[in-house]
Amino acid sequence: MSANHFDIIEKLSAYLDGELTTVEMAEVKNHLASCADCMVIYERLKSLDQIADDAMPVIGDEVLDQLEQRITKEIAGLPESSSESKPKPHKASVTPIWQKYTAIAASLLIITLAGRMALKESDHALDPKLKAPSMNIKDQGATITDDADELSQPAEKKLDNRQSIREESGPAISKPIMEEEETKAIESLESDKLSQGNKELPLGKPKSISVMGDVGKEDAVDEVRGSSNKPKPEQSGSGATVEVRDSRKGMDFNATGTVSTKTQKLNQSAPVASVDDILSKEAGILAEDSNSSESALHIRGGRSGEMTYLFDGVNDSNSLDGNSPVDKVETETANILTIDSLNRIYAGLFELSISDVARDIPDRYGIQSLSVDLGKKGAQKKSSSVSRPDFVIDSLSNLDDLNDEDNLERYYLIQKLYVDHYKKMGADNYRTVYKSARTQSLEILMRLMSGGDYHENLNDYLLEIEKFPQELK
Amino acid sequence: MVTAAGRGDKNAFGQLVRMHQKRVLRMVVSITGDLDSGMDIVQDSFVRAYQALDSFDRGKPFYPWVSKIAYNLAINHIKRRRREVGLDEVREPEASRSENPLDKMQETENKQRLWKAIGELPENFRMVFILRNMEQLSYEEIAERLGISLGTVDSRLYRARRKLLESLKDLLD
Repeated sequence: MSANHFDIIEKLSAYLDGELTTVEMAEVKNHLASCADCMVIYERLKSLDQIADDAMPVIGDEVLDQLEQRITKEIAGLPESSSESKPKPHKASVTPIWQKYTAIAASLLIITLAGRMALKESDHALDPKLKAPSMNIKDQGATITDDADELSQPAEKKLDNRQSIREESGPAISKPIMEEEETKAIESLESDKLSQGNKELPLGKPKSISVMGDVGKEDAVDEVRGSSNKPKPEQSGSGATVEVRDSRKGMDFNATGTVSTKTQKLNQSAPVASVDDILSKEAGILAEDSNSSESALHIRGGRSGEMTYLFDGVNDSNSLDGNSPVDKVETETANILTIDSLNRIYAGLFELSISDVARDIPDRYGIQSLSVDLGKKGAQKKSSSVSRPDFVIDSLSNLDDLNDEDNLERYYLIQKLYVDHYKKMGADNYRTVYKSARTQSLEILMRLMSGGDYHENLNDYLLEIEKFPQELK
Repeated sequence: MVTAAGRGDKNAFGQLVRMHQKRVLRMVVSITGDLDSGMDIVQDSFVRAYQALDSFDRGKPFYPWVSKIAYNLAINHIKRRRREVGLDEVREPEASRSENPLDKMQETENKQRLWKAIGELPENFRMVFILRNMEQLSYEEIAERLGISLGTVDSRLYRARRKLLESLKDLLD
């Protein structure tokens, strides 16, 4: 038996698939010629492949005909798939966020202008009309056009997010009315954008909002600029113009895109490239106040206020109610959005990187049942304090949580991250969490052992933790 | 053809469907374990692809794109099913109706044993095995699909196969 016998065994699978380098292929081939044990394993692998081939679903022509008819029939009922007449999203697919924000921003600008019109007309900031801007909108009117020639001259002000718009719009806008008008405006604006035609809203005095850019195409859109946030007096009555210009490269929106594709893109463009980067630069690990009812260990980034998420430069929180629109999307879609399309600069990366770690854990540490959906469970348990159940890695606040095997392993993973990370970070950072980590770990171990249960990986980890002080001194 | 389909040519898109639906369906059924949901998913996948053609890079092949859509929908499907009914296994493709061409899939004990063993694999291993053996993707394609490294693909596939060898030991000896 050669010295690299065990290495060869591990290569047999890839050898079977022809996925080794030329040198490795030759190496394995030579070894097989002289090692009966490896040849037995190799033959079994081949047999397994043969059984798998035999078990391949056999798809008959009848099934394919039926499937084709179903697809054809459904597509026949859809608008043509072209930039000139883009169909409405199917089922869980969603309107690109930039479109929503563009439209929402535009609608808010309408309301802003209407509010200012009302201000001017009433000459009183607290005029009840301002609390019901929809009345003013109906009375005032606006024109939506994509005619670039109609762009206005007033000083432009970039709208960073809807909060800024809201601040401009004055106080006490009635929320239900606001939402209703947003919806109407979104529908109207999207309709206009998609048809690329001019359309006048059934409103009175003309104001114009220009929507520029090749809306709907991959390389279009995203920046929302509003001019005349503060309309000049001479404009407010007869034609203050708001420009909504598409100038920044938009996200590559794919309604049903995949995690892997977007992950790579995200990783390539992101300021962090690894879990360690995230932990050190952004996410951090917090040792909670011991008097707090919160957990003693916490990976930062899971709660509102700790991080800001931007969707192509737009804050994701709804300035009207503080909630994220994403939270209102159904679960399946939210997952897609989170990973694929919203470009949460850190949050998505954080989730994906942690998920990668989670996926690798079974290979690296022999744990078999660690869920890729790391943290969801815990987050749901703590729904009152967690706002991002789709990516949060929550920590364990009490030992009861460890009754769940998934939680135990999740805890193990988090602890392992601590170990790996703080080993690199040095004593100062290490001391921040070491005490609580160690204490909690020992409590867990004692509990497990006293209960007749035992988790060898956790114990291995704890032994590793015990070495910390010596390593760091 | 994709370009024509992108211009709204539904006939052109129909050709794309005919070209790729079989391979996509086979992959999806491998994941979901039943033909009915597999057909639903593939139908949904092509419809979504049609709707999103504007965002599709015409310079790239169509199949990987639509198969990724289908793969994601299939994964979502089994996750949802698991949440709803607590299933955590790949079911052997359903017993087929008399005219169902999947009848042949379940004729031998070997196949039944294999599907059971596949169902008992950890999900990460299972997916790699299915993508390799059922869809016959290369390691690089699997890595891209799952967002993992080539080494991880190799490792998981090796471990998946070793586990299957153990489960099917008597069958393979």
